[in-house]
Amino acid sequence: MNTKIRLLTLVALVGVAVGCSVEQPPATPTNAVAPAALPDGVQYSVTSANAAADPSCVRTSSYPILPDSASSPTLDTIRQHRKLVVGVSQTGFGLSYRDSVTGKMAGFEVDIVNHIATALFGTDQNTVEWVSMEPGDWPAALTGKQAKDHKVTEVDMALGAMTMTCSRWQEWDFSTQYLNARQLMLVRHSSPITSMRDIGGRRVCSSSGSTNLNELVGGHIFPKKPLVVSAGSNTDCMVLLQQNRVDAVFTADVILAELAAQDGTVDLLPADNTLKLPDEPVGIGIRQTADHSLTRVVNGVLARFRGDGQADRANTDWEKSYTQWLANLGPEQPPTPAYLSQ
Amino acid sequence: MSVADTAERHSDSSAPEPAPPNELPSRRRRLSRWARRTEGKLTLVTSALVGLCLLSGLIGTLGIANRADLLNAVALRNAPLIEQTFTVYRSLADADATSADAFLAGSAESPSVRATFEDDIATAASALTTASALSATLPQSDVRVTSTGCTSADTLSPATASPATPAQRLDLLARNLAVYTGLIETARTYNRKGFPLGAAYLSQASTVLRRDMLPQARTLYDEESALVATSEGQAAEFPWLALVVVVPLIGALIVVQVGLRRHTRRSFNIGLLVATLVVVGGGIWLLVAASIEGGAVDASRADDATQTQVLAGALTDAQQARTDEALTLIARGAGTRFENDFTNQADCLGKALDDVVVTQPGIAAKISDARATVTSWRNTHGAVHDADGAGDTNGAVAYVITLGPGGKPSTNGLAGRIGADLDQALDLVRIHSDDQIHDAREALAGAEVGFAVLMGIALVGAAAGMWPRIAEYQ
Repeated sequence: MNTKIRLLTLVALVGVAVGCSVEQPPATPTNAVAPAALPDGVQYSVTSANAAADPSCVRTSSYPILPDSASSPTLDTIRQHRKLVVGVSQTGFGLSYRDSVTGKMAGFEVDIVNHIATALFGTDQNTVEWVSMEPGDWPAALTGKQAKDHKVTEVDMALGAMTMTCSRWQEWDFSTQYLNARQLMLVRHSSPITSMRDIGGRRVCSSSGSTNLNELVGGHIFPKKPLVVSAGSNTDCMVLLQQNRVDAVFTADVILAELAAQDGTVDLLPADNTLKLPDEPVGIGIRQTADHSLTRVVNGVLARFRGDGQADRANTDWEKSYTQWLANLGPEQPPTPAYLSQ
Repeated sequence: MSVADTAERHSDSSAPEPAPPNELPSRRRRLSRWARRTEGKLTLVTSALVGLCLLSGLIGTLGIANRADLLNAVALRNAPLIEQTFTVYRSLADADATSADAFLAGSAESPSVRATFEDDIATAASALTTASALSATLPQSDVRVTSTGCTSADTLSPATASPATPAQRLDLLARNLAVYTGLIETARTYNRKGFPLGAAYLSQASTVLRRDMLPQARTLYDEESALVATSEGQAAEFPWLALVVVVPLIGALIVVQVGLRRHTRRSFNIGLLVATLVVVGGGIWLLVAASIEGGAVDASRADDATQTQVLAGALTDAQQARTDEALTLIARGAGTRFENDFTNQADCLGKALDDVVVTQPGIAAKISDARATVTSWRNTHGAVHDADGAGDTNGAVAYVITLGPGGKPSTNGLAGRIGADLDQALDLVRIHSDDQIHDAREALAGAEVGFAVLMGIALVGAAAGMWPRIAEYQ
């Protein structure tokens, strides 16, 4: 290094030091902005979803019942490992969630899984491996077609108020229906949105990979287009609603009623039949095999759970579980199953 | 003052030239005629010696001052800033792991876990304040580093515009810290009610921390470390420049003395002799001080900086592995991802412990203990994984939080032990490095003023030695 540069640097440094200590007032940001601390996986201005036209089929019809003791390669493998791997949400209050007080999984769907485990293994103790997942994870978890950057655990079946659709039927099986849901909307108390028709230009959130997101983005159901936001789960949508980052959450009524049960300052908007929102039959997503044996055994368990053909509906397991977990929705009858003729 | 100035002033004060009245020679011709005479020659030589003394004094003193400034900045500002930044990183990562533990434990959130979390946040906030104050006193650097090591910024994408300066990074960290604690407390409230909204808030908080905060703290740490390396590199350079002026000065003094001796038949010129000895002494002082200082700085740079980087990397790997382990049990919809992350982090941790080049026996002991503890951790983690896979979530959580299988320490206990080992090792390195920098600053102490004074003495000696010779011609 030569003399000039060194001397100049020194002079400059002294100058800077003097300048700093004398001239500049401390830079206080008087109007600092709160950082946009979004949950993981939130996407604003969603304009396209997996909105391919749904192929036509009878979406509520599943395969006929097999007895619990039926044998098939699929069933034998599961029994041999004494392990049923089940994908559920960890945050679906009432449906399936980890109770933060007991630390255990609980909810209506958890009850169903425990019935299935008992049917397969004779006990539900330590025979279910709960894998936490959200709708976006279902395709990979149920088909094994993994995305490169986001590996998920493969499961035997998945629950999570999963709407039975014909395009999903092409990827995996569904059990018979165990709930019938309607699509509704949740808003804050003070919201100017008083009807589902008012959401033009408003931010509406649904979980990514859900049918509801498809309705918002692709459907021509709403008279004016909303600004669509997708989040990792419906519970993340609820967080965004509480943090004033979205104006409404759009999903199945079973989910919304349980979200509303955790916050006294939100309202469910009334159903609007003029909007022609499709109903959402809810079934268990089951990994597809050629003989559909797991699906057929599960259908047997569900038939007993619902009390199909029973005159006294009040004493069914379905009714007991429903009253325990989903009473916020109001009284409801178990759905009537439909079977494919085979 | 330049040589020409001195010469001219000298000519003004001496007797006027007897110039013929009808001839008006130019100023230059008058000067050169004067300079050809002995008196003129001696005056020029004296001026040259005086000028060289001044130049040596200036360059030597400024050079030492520059080194001392660099070292002072390292010792008083950069190094503490790095330490504070690392504290921010550590305490935030620990808070993340602790809050995940608290969620796993359910309503049985233990007072000690809660206290750990609160202390982590207090430590982070306090370190942020100190770091901000330190960074305000530092000139803004434009050092850019790409983060190395295993602790990669998560795959989560940044949500906000990237800050560029240390001050901006610290500002963003401070604002996000407020948001983070708010989210954690909301999560805690919902968790106590048994509502799963708590898990969603916890996940959001963890996302904010891992996506928006930790990478900023990490980048700040890396940038400041690079800056210190640059400063230390400059402070440890050989003082070529001072040598370039001091050596010719000594040469000039010797040549002048030899010349005078030949012309005047006097053996010694006391003034010039003193000047020569003083310049030689000053030059030796400068070289010795600079090489002692440079050696100490190099020792700090080569051994301590490398060790610090590896150990700090290992510490954050351990922290990250602990969080990943908790997240495998919470499994926020990501399936096997956190199990893979844990394995990667544990591998990285083991590799860092194998790679670190140890320079002190005290550190070696800590490292080998940490290495053994990593092995135990991986074994116990296997038990955690098996228990979780067998559906025994509560058992798995107990292995993580309270006691491992067979009454062995929990994985959190093991992670804490690794943390403590690495902390103590880092402290030893830091003490050594501080000592080196202290030695380096000691070596330079007094050299700045001392060298200036010596060059002043040389200047006076040279002038005093030459003056009687010039006076002889007047």
